[in-house]
Amino acid sequence: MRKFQLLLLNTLQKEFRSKTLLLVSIFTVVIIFLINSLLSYISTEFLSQMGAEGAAQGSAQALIFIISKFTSLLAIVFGVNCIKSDIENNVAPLMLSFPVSRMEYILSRVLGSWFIVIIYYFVSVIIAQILLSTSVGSLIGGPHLLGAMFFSALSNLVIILVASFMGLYMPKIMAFMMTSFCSILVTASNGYFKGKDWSAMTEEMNIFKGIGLGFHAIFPRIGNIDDIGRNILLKVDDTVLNIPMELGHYFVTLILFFTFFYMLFNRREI
Amino acid sequence: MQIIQAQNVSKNYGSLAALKSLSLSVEEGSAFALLGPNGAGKTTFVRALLGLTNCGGDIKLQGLDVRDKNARQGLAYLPEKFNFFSYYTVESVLSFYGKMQGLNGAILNEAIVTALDALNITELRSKRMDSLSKGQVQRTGLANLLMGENKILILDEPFSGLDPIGIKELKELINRLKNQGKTIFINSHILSEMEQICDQVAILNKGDCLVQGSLSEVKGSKSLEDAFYDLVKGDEK
Repeated sequence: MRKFQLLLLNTLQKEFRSKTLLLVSIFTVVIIFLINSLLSYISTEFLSQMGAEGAAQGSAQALIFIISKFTSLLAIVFGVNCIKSDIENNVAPLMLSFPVSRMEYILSRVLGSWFIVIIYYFVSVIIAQILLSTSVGSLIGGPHLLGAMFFSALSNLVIILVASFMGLYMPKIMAFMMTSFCSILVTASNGYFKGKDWSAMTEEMNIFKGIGLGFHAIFPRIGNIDDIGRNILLKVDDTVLNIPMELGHYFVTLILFFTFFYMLFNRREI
Repeated sequence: MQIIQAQNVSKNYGSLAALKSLSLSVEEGSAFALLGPNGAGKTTFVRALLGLTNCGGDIKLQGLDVRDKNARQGLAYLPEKFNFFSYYTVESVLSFYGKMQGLNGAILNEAIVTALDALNITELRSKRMDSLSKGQVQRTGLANLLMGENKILILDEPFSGLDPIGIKELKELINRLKNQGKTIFINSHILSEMEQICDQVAILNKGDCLVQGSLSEVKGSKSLEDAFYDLVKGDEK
Protein backbone atom coordinates (compact mmCIF):
# COMPACT_ATOMS: atom_id res chain seq x y z
CA MET A 1 0.00 0.00 0.00
CA ARG A 2 2.85 2.36 0.87
CA LYS A 3 4.50 1.71 -2.49
CA PHE A 4 1.20 2.45 -4.22
CA GLN A 5 0.98 5.76 -2.33
CA LEU A 6 4.53 6.62 -3.37
CA LEU A 7 3.71 5.90 -7.01
CA LEU A 8 0.53 7.97 -6.72
CA LEU A 9 2.48 10.86 -5.25
CA ASN A 10 5.05 10.47 -8.01
CA THR A 11 2.22 10.74 -10.58
CA LEU A 12 0.88 13.91 -8.95
CA GLN A 13 4.37 15.47 -8.95
CA LYS A 14 4.80 14.49 -12.58
CA GLU A 15 1.46 15.79 -13.84
CA PHE A 16 1.48 19.02 -11.82
CA ARG A 17 4.42 20.10 -13.95
CA SER A 18 2.46 19.65 -17.15
CA LYS A 19 2.62 22.70 -19.42
CA THR A 20 -0.86 21.83 -20.70
CA LEU A 21 -2.23 22.15 -17.16
CA LEU A 22 -0.59 25.55 -16.79
CA LEU A 23 -1.87 26.80 -20.16
CA VAL A 24 -5.41 25.53 -19.66
CA SER A 25 -5.50 26.94 -16.11
CA ILE A 26 -4.38 30.39 -17.29
CA PHE A 27 -6.87 30.31 -20.15
CA THR A 28 -9.66 29.24 -17.80
CA VAL A 29 -8.96 32.06 -15.35
CA VAL A 30 -8.91 34.57 -18.23
CA ILE A 31 -12.25 33.26 -19.51
CA ILE A 32 -13.77 33.39 -16.02
CA PHE A 33 -12.64 37.00 -15.57
CA LEU A 34 -13.95 37.98 -19.02
CA ILE A 35 -17.36 36.46 -18.39
CA ASN A 36 -17.45 38.02 -14.94
CA SER A 37 -16.63 41.44 -16.38
CA LEU A 38 -19.36 40.97 -18.95
CA LEU A 39 -21.78 40.03 -16.18
CA SER A 40 -20.85 43.11 -14.14
CA TYR A 41 -21.50 45.27 -17.21
CA ILE A 42 -24.86 43.60 -17.87
CA SER A 43 -25.81 43.89 -14.20
CA THR A 44 -25.04 47.61 -14.23
CA GLU A 45 -26.59 48.49 -17.61
CA PHE A 46 -29.53 46.10 -17.97
CA LEU A 47 -30.31 45.13 -14.39
CA SER A 48 -33.90 46.30 -14.56
CA GLN A 49 -34.72 44.16 -17.63
CA MET A 50 -32.94 40.89 -16.79
CA GLY A 51 -32.32 40.80 -13.07
CA ALA A 52 -28.80 40.24 -11.75
CA GLU A 53 -29.60 36.78 -10.43
CA GLY A 54 -30.88 35.55 -13.80
CA ALA A 55 -27.86 36.94 -15.66
CA ALA A 56 -25.50 35.36 -13.15
CA GLN A 57 -27.22 31.97 -13.47
CA GLY A 58 -26.86 32.17 -17.25
CA SER A 59 -23.20 33.08 -16.93
CA ALA A 60 -22.63 30.29 -14.41
CA GLN A 61 -24.09 27.78 -16.86
CA ALA A 62 -21.90 29.06 -19.67
CA LEU A 63 -18.83 28.96 -17.45
CA ILE A 64 -19.53 25.47 -16.16
CA PHE A 65 -19.97 24.30 -19.75
CA ILE A 66 -16.62 25.82 -20.77
CA ILE A 67 -14.85 24.48 -17.68
CA SER A 68 -16.32 21.00 -18.31
CA LYS A 69 -15.03 21.00 -21.89
CA PHE A 70 -11.56 22.15 -20.79
CA THR A 71 -11.60 19.47 -18.11
CA SER A 72 -12.35 16.80 -20.70
CA LEU A 73 -9.51 18.16 -22.83
CA LEU A 74 -7.12 17.95 -19.88
CA ALA A 75 -8.37 14.44 -19.08
CA ILE A 76 -7.49 13.31 -22.60
CA VAL A 77 -4.02 14.94 -22.52
CA PHE A 78 -3.19 13.51 -19.09
CA GLY A 79 -4.67 10.14 -19.94
CA VAL A 80 -2.61 9.79 -23.12
CA ASN A 81 0.58 10.78 -21.29
CA CYS A 82 0.24 9.10 -17.93
CA ILE A 83 1.71 5.72 -18.91
CA LYS A 84 3.03 6.51 -22.36
CA SER A 85 5.53 9.11 -21.09
CA ASP A 86 6.99 6.55 -18.66
CA ILE A 87 7.50 4.09 -21.51
CA GLU A 88 8.96 6.76 -23.81
CA ASN A 89 11.39 7.95 -21.12
CA ASN A 90 12.36 4.40 -20.17
CA VAL A 91 11.11 4.95 -16.62
CA ALA A 92 8.40 2.25 -16.75
CA PRO A 93 10.91 -0.67 -16.46
CA LEU A 94 12.40 1.00 -13.37
CA MET A 95 8.99 1.45 -11.78
CA LEU A 96 8.04 -2.14 -12.50
CA SER A 97 11.34 -3.45 -11.14
CA PHE A 98 10.09 -2.46 -7.68
CA PRO A 99 7.82 -4.93 -5.91
CA VAL A 100 4.67 -3.38 -7.34
CA SER A 101 2.15 -5.15 -9.54
CA ARG A 102 1.14 -3.84 -12.92
CA MET A 103 -2.34 -3.31 -11.49
CA GLU A 104 -0.94 -0.98 -8.81
CA TYR A 105 1.16 0.79 -11.41
CA ILE A 106 -1.79 1.46 -13.77
CA LEU A 107 -4.06 2.51 -10.90
CA SER A 108 -1.47 4.91 -9.50
CA ARG A 109 -0.93 6.57 -12.87
CA VAL A 110 -4.63 6.76 -13.83
CA LEU A 111 -5.86 7.87 -10.39
CA GLY A 112 -3.04 10.40 -10.05
CA SER A 113 -4.00 11.99 -13.37
CA TRP A 114 -7.66 11.87 -12.34
CA PHE A 115 -6.96 13.73 -9.08
CA ILE A 116 -5.23 16.54 -10.97
CA VAL A 117 -8.17 16.85 -13.36
CA ILE A 118 -10.61 16.92 -10.43
CA ILE A 119 -8.52 19.59 -8.70
CA TYR A 120 -8.48 21.69 -11.87
CA TYR A 121 -12.28 21.36 -12.20
CA PHE A 122 -12.87 22.09 -8.52
CA VAL A 123 -10.62 25.17 -8.41
CA SER A 124 -12.02 26.56 -11.68
CA VAL A 125 -15.63 26.12 -10.55
CA ILE A 126 -14.93 27.66 -7.14
CA ILE A 127 -13.21 30.70 -8.72
CA ALA A 128 -16.14 31.11 -11.12
CA GLN A 129 -18.65 30.75 -8.30
CA ILE A 130 -16.92 33.28 -6.02
CA LEU A 131 -16.52 35.89 -8.77
CA LEU A 132 -20.05 35.56 -10.05
CA SER A 133 -21.49 35.64 -6.53
CA THR A 134 -19.52 38.77 -5.60
CA SER A 135 -20.60 40.45 -8.86
CA VAL A 136 -24.30 40.09 -8.09
CA GLY A 137 -24.10 40.15 -4.30
CA SER A 138 -25.73 36.74 -3.73
CA LEU A 139 -24.56 33.12 -3.80
CA ILE A 140 -24.56 31.63 -7.29
CA GLY A 141 -24.38 27.87 -7.51
CA GLY A 142 -24.21 26.41 -4.02
CA PRO A 143 -23.84 22.92 -2.62
CA HIS A 144 -25.47 21.22 -5.60
CA LEU A 145 -22.29 22.10 -7.50
CA LEU A 146 -20.64 19.28 -5.58
CA GLY A 147 -23.14 16.82 -7.06
CA ALA A 148 -22.41 18.12 -10.54
CA MET A 149 -18.69 17.83 -9.85
CA PHE A 150 -19.08 14.23 -8.72
CA PHE A 151 -20.68 13.25 -12.04
CA SER A 152 -18.16 15.27 -14.03
CA ALA A 153 -15.38 13.42 -12.20
CA LEU A 154 -16.94 10.05 -13.10
CA SER A 155 -17.10 11.04 -16.74
CA ASN A 156 -13.46 12.20 -16.74
CA LEU A 157 -12.23 8.99 -15.13
CA VAL A 158 -13.52 7.08 -18.16
CA ILE A 159 -11.89 9.55 -20.54
CA ILE A 160 -8.51 9.21 -18.75
CA LEU A 161 -8.75 5.43 -18.80
CA VAL A 162 -9.62 5.29 -22.51
CA ALA A 163 -6.91 7.84 -23.33
CA SER A 164 -4.23 5.94 -21.39
CA PHE A 165 -5.25 2.76 -23.19
CA MET A 166 -5.11 4.47 -26.59
CA GLY A 167 -1.76 6.05 -25.65
CA LEU A 168 -0.22 2.61 -25.25
CA TYR A 169 -1.01 1.51 -28.76
CA MET A 170 -0.73 4.61 -30.94
CA PRO A 171 1.18 7.88 -31.26
CA LYS A 172 0.10 10.72 -28.96
CA ILE A 173 -1.74 12.82 -31.54
CA MET A 174 -3.56 9.77 -32.88
CA ALA A 175 -4.45 8.67 -29.33
CA PHE A 176 -5.74 12.18 -28.58
CA MET A 177 -7.90 12.17 -31.71
CA MET A 178 -9.17 8.63 -31.20
CA THR A 179 -10.13 9.31 -27.58
CA SER A 180 -11.93 12.51 -28.61
CA PHE A 181 -13.70 10.63 -31.39
CA CYS A 182 -14.75 7.80 -29.06
CA SER A 183 -15.93 10.29 -26.47
CA ILE A 184 -18.05 12.15 -29.06
CA LEU A 185 -19.41 8.86 -30.44
CA VAL A 186 -20.40 7.58 -27.00
CA THR A 187 -21.96 10.91 -26.01
CA ALA A 188 -23.89 11.12 -29.30
CA SER A 189 -25.15 7.53 -29.03
CA ASN A 190 -26.13 8.12 -25.38
CA GLY A 191 -28.10 11.19 -26.46
CA TYR A 192 -29.83 9.29 -29.27
CA PHE A 193 -30.79 6.22 -27.25
CA LYS A 194 -31.47 8.06 -23.99
CA GLY A 195 -34.81 7.06 -22.48
CA LYS A 196 -35.71 4.67 -25.33
CA ASP A 197 -36.88 1.16 -24.56
CA TRP A 198 -35.37 -1.88 -26.26
CA SER A 199 -37.96 -2.10 -29.07
CA ALA A 200 -37.52 1.60 -29.90
CA MET A 201 -33.75 1.15 -29.88
CA THR A 202 -33.81 -1.75 -32.33
CA GLU A 203 -36.55 -0.71 -34.73
CA GLU A 204 -35.46 0.26 -38.27
CA MET A 205 -31.98 -1.04 -37.50
CA ASN A 206 -29.12 -0.11 -39.82
CA ILE A 207 -25.35 -0.34 -39.55
CA PHE A 208 -24.85 3.13 -38.04
CA LYS A 209 -27.62 2.61 -35.54
CA GLY A 210 -26.08 -0.78 -34.70
CA ILE A 211 -22.67 0.77 -34.07
CA GLY A 212 -24.23 3.50 -31.94
CA LEU A 213 -26.20 0.92 -29.98
CA GLY A 214 -23.02 -1.08 -29.42
CA PHE A 215 -21.23 1.97 -28.02
CA HIS A 216 -24.27 2.83 -25.89
CA ALA A 217 -24.41 -0.68 -24.46
CA ILE A 218 -20.77 -1.57 -23.79
CA PHE A 219 -19.12 1.76 -22.92
CA PRO A 220 -19.72 3.71 -19.72
CA ARG A 221 -22.45 6.20 -20.66
CA ILE A 222 -20.49 9.40 -20.15
CA GLY A 223 -23.11 11.39 -22.09
CA ASN A 224 -25.84 10.40 -19.64
CA ILE A 225 -23.52 10.88 -16.66
CA ASP A 226 -22.73 14.41 -17.89
CA ASP A 227 -26.45 15.06 -18.37
CA ILE A 228 -27.18 14.00 -14.80
CA GLY A 229 -24.46 16.35 -13.55
CA ARG A 230 -25.80 19.23 -15.63
CA ASN A 231 -29.37 18.58 -14.44
CA ILE A 232 -28.19 18.67 -10.82
CA LEU A 233 -26.38 21.91 -11.51
CA LEU A 234 -29.38 23.51 -13.18
CA LYS A 235 -31.79 22.00 -10.65
CA VAL A 236 -33.74 20.31 -13.47
CA ASP A 237 -35.78 17.21 -12.71
CA ASP A 238 -35.00 14.66 -15.40
CA THR A 239 -37.65 11.96 -15.57
CA VAL A 240 -35.90 10.19 -18.47
CA LEU A 241 -32.64 9.24 -16.76
CA ASN A 242 -32.74 6.74 -13.94
CA ILE A 243 -29.74 7.72 -11.79
CA PRO A 244 -29.23 4.39 -9.92
CA MET A 245 -29.50 2.47 -13.18
CA GLU A 246 -27.10 4.80 -14.97
CA LEU A 247 -24.62 4.56 -12.11
CA GLY A 248 -24.97 0.77 -12.10
CA HIS A 249 -24.30 0.60 -15.84
CA TYR A 250 -21.40 3.04 -15.43
CA PHE A 251 -19.61 1.05 -12.76
CA VAL A 252 -20.17 -2.36 -14.39
CA THR A 253 -18.89 -1.19 -17.78
CA LEU A 254 -16.03 0.76 -16.16
CA ILE A 255 -14.86 -2.35 -14.30
CA LEU A 256 -15.16 -4.44 -17.48
CA PHE A 257 -13.18 -1.89 -19.48
CA PHE A 258 -10.52 -1.61 -16.79
CA THR A 259 -10.21 -5.41 -16.64
CA PHE A 260 -9.78 -5.54 -20.41
CA PHE A 261 -7.17 -2.76 -20.27
CA TYR A 262 -5.32 -4.47 -17.42
CA MET A 263 -5.27 -7.83 -19.22
CA LEU A 264 -3.77 -6.24 -22.32
CA PHE A 265 -1.27 -4.21 -20.30
CA ASN A 266 -0.26 -7.31 -18.37
CA ARG A 267 0.73 -9.00 -21.61
CA ARG A 268 2.50 -5.97 -22.96
CA GLU A 269 6.27 -5.71 -23.36
CA ILE A 270 7.61 -2.85 -21.26
CA MET B 1 20.64 -21.76 -2.55
CA GLN B 2 19.75 -20.78 -6.11
CA ILE B 3 18.36 -17.28 -6.00
CA ILE B 4 17.66 -17.10 -9.75
CA GLN B 5 16.37 -20.15 -11.60
CA ALA B 6 15.44 -20.11 -15.27
CA GLN B 7 14.10 -23.24 -16.94
CA ASN B 8 13.53 -23.57 -20.69
CA VAL B 9 12.99 -19.86 -21.19
CA SER B 10 12.09 -19.01 -24.75
CA LYS B 11 11.12 -15.80 -26.43
CA ASN B 12 10.33 -15.07 -30.05
CA TYR B 13 10.02 -11.73 -31.78
CA GLY B 14 8.08 -12.72 -34.86
CA SER B 15 10.18 -15.35 -36.60
CA LEU B 16 13.31 -14.40 -34.65
CA ALA B 17 14.06 -16.57 -31.62
CA ALA B 18 15.65 -14.26 -29.05
CA LEU B 19 15.88 -16.97 -26.39
CA LYS B 20 15.87 -20.69 -27.22
CA SER B 21 14.88 -22.85 -24.29
CA LEU B 22 17.44 -21.16 -22.08
CA SER B 23 18.15 -22.61 -18.65
CA LEU B 24 20.49 -21.14 -16.08
CA SER B 25 20.76 -20.64 -12.36
CA VAL B 26 22.51 -18.19 -10.07
CA GLU B 27 23.73 -19.03 -6.58
CA GLU B 28 22.92 -16.64 -3.77
CA GLY B 29 25.88 -14.40 -2.92
CA SER B 30 27.66 -14.89 -6.23
CA ALA B 31 28.69 -12.33 -8.81
CA PHE B 32 27.26 -13.67 -12.03
CA ALA B 33 28.17 -12.40 -15.50
CA LEU B 34 25.84 -12.97 -18.42
CA LEU B 35 28.07 -12.56 -21.44
CA GLY B 36 27.42 -12.63 -25.12
CA PRO B 37 27.87 -10.73 -28.36
CA ASN B 38 25.35 -8.10 -29.45
CA GLY B 39 21.99 -9.68 -30.20
CA ALA B 40 22.71 -12.77 -28.11
CA GLY B 41 19.55 -12.27 -26.03
CA LYS B 42 21.15 -10.89 -22.85
CA THR B 43 18.88 -7.87 -22.47
CA THR B 44 15.82 -9.97 -23.37
CA PHE B 45 16.76 -12.33 -20.56
CA VAL B 46 17.21 -9.47 -18.07
CA ARG B 47 13.80 -8.10 -19.07
CA ALA B 48 12.29 -11.56 -18.63
CA LEU B 49 13.95 -11.79 -15.23
CA LEU B 50 12.19 -8.59 -14.16
CA GLY B 51 8.85 -9.73 -15.55
CA LEU B 52 8.90 -6.95 -18.16
CA THR B 53 8.40 -9.34 -21.04
CA ASN B 54 6.30 -12.44 -21.37
CA CYS B 55 8.12 -15.55 -22.41
CA GLY B 56 7.77 -19.29 -22.36
CA GLY B 57 9.33 -21.40 -19.63
CA ASP B 58 9.73 -20.78 -15.99
CA ILE B 59 11.73 -18.07 -14.19
CA LYS B 60 11.95 -17.89 -10.44
CA LEU B 61 13.48 -15.14 -8.33
CA GLN B 62 14.00 -15.98 -4.67
CA GLY B 63 11.85 -19.06 -5.24
CA LEU B 64 8.90 -17.05 -6.56
CA ASP B 65 7.57 -16.72 -10.08
CA VAL B 66 8.78 -13.43 -11.60
CA ARG B 67 5.19 -12.39 -12.25
CA ASP B 68 4.67 -12.29 -8.50
CA LYS B 69 5.57 -8.80 -7.28
CA ASN B 70 7.05 -10.25 -4.07
CA ALA B 71 9.75 -11.92 -6.16
CA ARG B 72 11.18 -8.41 -6.67
CA GLN B 73 11.35 -7.65 -2.96
CA GLY B 74 14.95 -6.71 -2.14
CA LEU B 75 15.89 -6.40 -5.80
CA ALA B 76 17.56 -3.38 -7.36
CA TYR B 77 17.86 -2.91 -11.10
CA LEU B 78 20.13 -0.62 -13.07
CA PRO B 79 19.23 -0.39 -16.76
CA GLU B 80 21.87 0.24 -19.42
CA LYS B 81 20.75 3.83 -19.85
CA PHE B 82 19.50 4.91 -16.48
CA ASN B 83 16.91 7.67 -16.71
CA PHE B 84 14.55 9.30 -14.27
CA PHE B 85 12.18 12.24 -14.31
CA SER B 86 14.20 15.27 -15.33
CA TYR B 87 12.83 17.55 -12.61
CA TYR B 88 13.98 15.25 -9.78
CA THR B 89 17.18 16.19 -7.98
CA VAL B 90 19.76 13.49 -7.30
CA GLU B 91 18.70 13.50 -3.66
CA SER B 92 15.00 13.11 -4.49
CA VAL B 93 15.77 10.20 -6.84
CA LEU B 94 17.65 8.46 -4.03
CA SER B 95 14.89 9.34 -1.61
CA PHE B 96 12.26 7.83 -3.94
CA TYR B 97 14.29 4.64 -4.30
CA GLY B 98 14.89 4.47 -0.57
CA LYS B 99 11.23 4.91 0.23
CA MET B 100 10.29 2.25 -2.32
CA GLN B 101 12.71 -0.03 -0.46
CA GLY B 102 10.98 0.77 2.83
CA LEU B 103 13.43 3.32 4.27
CA ASN B 104 12.23 6.36 6.17
CA GLY B 105 13.29 9.27 8.36
CA ALA B 106 16.83 9.35 9.71
CA ILE B 107 17.67 5.93 8.23
CA LEU B 108 16.69 7.18 4.79
CA ASN B 109 18.79 10.35 5.17
CA GLU B 110 21.76 8.32 6.35
CA ALA B 111 21.40 5.94 3.41
CA ILE B 112 21.31 8.89 0.99
CA VAL B 113 24.51 10.36 2.47
CA THR B 114 26.24 6.96 2.35
CA ALA B 115 25.18 6.30 -1.26
CA LEU B 116 26.24 9.76 -2.44
CA ASP B 117 29.58 9.33 -0.70
CA ALA B 118 30.15 5.84 -2.08
CA LEU B 119 29.72 7.08 -5.64
CA ASN B 120 31.56 10.38 -5.05
CA ILE B 121 28.57 12.45 -6.08
CA THR B 122 27.89 14.32 -2.83
CA GLU B 123 28.29 17.65 -4.63
CA LEU B 124 25.50 16.66 -7.05
CA ARG B 125 23.00 16.16 -4.24
CA SER B 126 20.76 19.12 -5.10
CA LYS B 127 21.30 19.05 -8.89
CA ARG B 128 18.43 18.21 -11.17
CA MET B 129 18.68 15.10 -13.31
CA ASP B 130 18.49 17.11 -16.53
CA SER B 131 21.61 19.09 -15.54
CA LEU B 132 23.84 16.01 -15.13
CA SER B 133 26.33 14.56 -17.58
CA LYS B 134 25.87 11.01 -18.90
CA GLY B 135 28.43 9.64 -16.44
CA GLN B 136 26.85 11.50 -13.51
CA VAL B 137 23.42 10.10 -14.40
CA GLN B 138 24.90 6.61 -14.47
CA ARG B 139 26.53 7.17 -11.07
CA THR B 140 23.18 8.30 -9.69
CA GLY B 141 21.67 5.08 -11.02
CA LEU B 142 24.42 3.13 -9.31
CA ALA B 143 23.87 5.02 -6.06
CA ASN B 144 20.25 3.80 -6.12
CA LEU B 145 21.53 0.24 -5.79
CA LEU B 146 22.81 1.14 -2.34
CA MET B 147 19.44 2.33 -1.07
CA GLY B 148 17.89 -0.25 1.23
CA GLU B 149 18.75 -3.82 2.06
CA ASN B 150 18.84 -5.21 -1.46
CA LYS B 151 19.74 -8.87 -1.84
CA ILE B 152 19.87 -9.04 -5.62
CA LEU B 153 21.40 -6.41 -7.87
CA ILE B 154 20.71 -6.67 -11.58
CA LEU B 155 22.99 -4.50 -13.66
CA ASP B 156 22.51 -4.14 -17.39
CA GLU B 157 25.77 -2.95 -19.00
CA PRO B 158 26.79 -1.00 -15.88
CA PHE B 159 30.08 0.25 -17.34
CA SER B 160 28.48 2.07 -20.23
CA GLY B 161 28.90 5.84 -19.96
CA LEU B 162 31.55 5.65 -17.24
CA ASP B 163 35.06 7.07 -17.58
CA PRO B 164 38.11 4.96 -16.55
CA ILE B 165 37.98 6.32 -13.00
CA GLY B 166 34.28 5.53 -12.81
CA ILE B 167 34.93 2.00 -14.10
CA LYS B 168 37.60 1.40 -11.47
CA GLU B 169 35.36 2.74 -8.71
CA LEU B 170 32.44 0.64 -9.91
CA LYS B 171 34.56 -2.51 -9.85
CA GLU B 172 35.54 -1.70 -6.27
CA LEU B 173 31.91 -1.06 -5.38
CA ILE B 174 30.77 -4.35 -6.90
CA ASN B 175 33.50 -6.23 -5.03
CA ARG B 176 32.43 -4.52 -1.81
CA LEU B 177 28.78 -5.46 -2.39
CA LYS B 178 29.81 -9.02 -3.23
CA ASN B 179 31.72 -9.22 0.04
CA GLN B 180 28.54 -8.12 1.83
CA GLY B 181 26.87 -11.29 0.51
CA LYS B 182 24.70 -9.66 -2.13
CA THR B 183 23.94 -11.50 -5.35
CA ILE B 184 25.11 -9.51 -8.35
CA PHE B 185 23.84 -10.29 -11.83
CA ILE B 186 25.67 -8.38 -14.53
CA ASN B 187 24.82 -8.34 -18.18
CA SER B 188 27.83 -7.14 -20.14
CA HIS B 189 30.09 -7.67 -23.09
CA ILE B 190 33.18 -6.04 -21.54
CA LEU B 191 35.00 -9.27 -20.80
CA SER B 192 38.12 -7.84 -19.18
CA GLU B 193 36.07 -6.14 -16.45
CA MET B 194 33.87 -9.16 -15.91
CA GLU B 195 36.89 -11.40 -15.47
CA GLN B 196 38.01 -9.26 -12.53
CA ILE B 197 34.72 -9.10 -10.62
CA CYS B 198 32.62 -12.17 -11.40
CA ASP B 199 32.93 -15.68 -10.08
CA GLN B 200 30.12 -17.28 -12.14
CA VAL B 201 29.71 -16.91 -15.88
CA ALA B 202 27.24 -17.85 -18.60
CA ILE B 203 27.86 -17.21 -22.29
CA LEU B 204 24.92 -16.68 -24.60
CA ASN B 205 24.88 -16.70 -28.36
CA LYS B 206 21.82 -16.36 -30.58
CA GLY B 207 19.51 -17.12 -27.66
CA ASP B 208 21.35 -20.29 -26.61
CA CYS B 209 23.36 -20.72 -23.44
CA LEU B 210 26.67 -22.11 -24.70
CA VAL B 211 28.22 -22.65 -21.29
CA GLN B 212 27.60 -21.89 -17.65
CA GLY B 213 29.81 -22.43 -14.64
CA SER B 214 32.46 -20.91 -12.44
CA LEU B 215 34.86 -18.50 -14.09
CA SER B 216 37.73 -20.99 -13.87
CA GLU B 217 35.62 -23.79 -15.40
CA VAL B 218 34.50 -21.65 -18.30
CA LYS B 219 37.83 -20.09 -19.24
CA GLY B 220 40.13 -23.00 -18.28
CA SER B 221 43.71 -22.03 -18.87
CA LYS B 222 42.80 -19.32 -21.40
CA SER B 223 41.81 -15.74 -20.81
CA LEU B 224 38.05 -15.15 -20.65
CA GLU B 225 38.29 -13.23 -23.91
CA ASP B 226 39.90 -16.16 -25.73
CA ALA B 227 37.49 -18.68 -24.21
CA PHE B 228 34.56 -16.47 -25.21
CA TYR B 229 35.88 -16.03 -28.75
CA ASP B 230 36.45 -19.77 -29.24
CA LEU B 231 33.01 -20.68 -27.89
CA VAL B 232 31.07 -18.10 -29.90
CA LYS B 233 33.00 -18.67 -33.12
CA GLY B 234 32.77 -22.44 -32.65
CA ASP B 235 29.00 -22.11 -32.23
CA GLU B 236 28.67 -20.13 -35.43
CA LYS B 237 30.51 -22.72 -37.53
